[in-house]
Amino acid sequence: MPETKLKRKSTSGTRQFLGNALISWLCRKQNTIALSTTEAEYVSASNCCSQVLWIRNQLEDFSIRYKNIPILCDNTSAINLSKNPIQHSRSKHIEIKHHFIRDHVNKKEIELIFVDTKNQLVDIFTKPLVEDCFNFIKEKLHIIHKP
Amino acid sequence: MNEAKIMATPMHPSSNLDKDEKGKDVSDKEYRGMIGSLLYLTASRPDIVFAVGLCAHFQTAPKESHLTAVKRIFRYLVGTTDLGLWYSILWC
Repeated sequence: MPETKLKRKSTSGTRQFLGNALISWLCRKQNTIALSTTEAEYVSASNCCSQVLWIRNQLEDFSIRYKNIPILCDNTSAINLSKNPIQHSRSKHIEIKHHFIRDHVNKKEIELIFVDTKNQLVDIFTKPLVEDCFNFIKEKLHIIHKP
Repeated sequence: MNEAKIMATPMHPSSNLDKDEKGKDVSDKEYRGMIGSLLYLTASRPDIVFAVGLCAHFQTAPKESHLTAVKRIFRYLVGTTDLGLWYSILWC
């Protein structure tokens, strides 16, 4: 997610789909300064994870159970970081709370899947877009004109 | 605002808003009112969330450049009043 010049903090954007329907979305300035794009993506994946788990718990009340809920992330190193507990110098400082995503990946409650930037629909929440891209994402999110 | 030129997006793709300390002051009461209304609208219009959120940063000392950005959101909205989230019965 791109950082704004303002205070150099990145913006997290997440959106959750249930089937085809957009049911929840978030756009928020992150509360820590990320040192790398990987870290910024990792933090937003972790934000998304907590929301997904909450929705999952809510659905359990209706006897709808999900396993391996896919989270789409456009950064491969952030995905690898969630699978592999190796600490290396570029990621050792990331706050422990953000590593809780690893735990849930291990338990196979969620999984991180790579998606290329073109199809990353949360971009609408994190950066100003050109018209084509903007309309493409709008359509994908089912924000449409009244029929 | 009804006769304003319609915009295709709520924000210029390469806009780079900052504090703009040397800019001309505008009424912060009015500015906050606009942001308030727009924030209310984001509940049903996720397409403007980012633009509104960014403009909301400057509520403490709004300048002319920020007001222009807010007005652009309105110009976008004027052209897209019938837009909404769609949930199909076929998805159930």
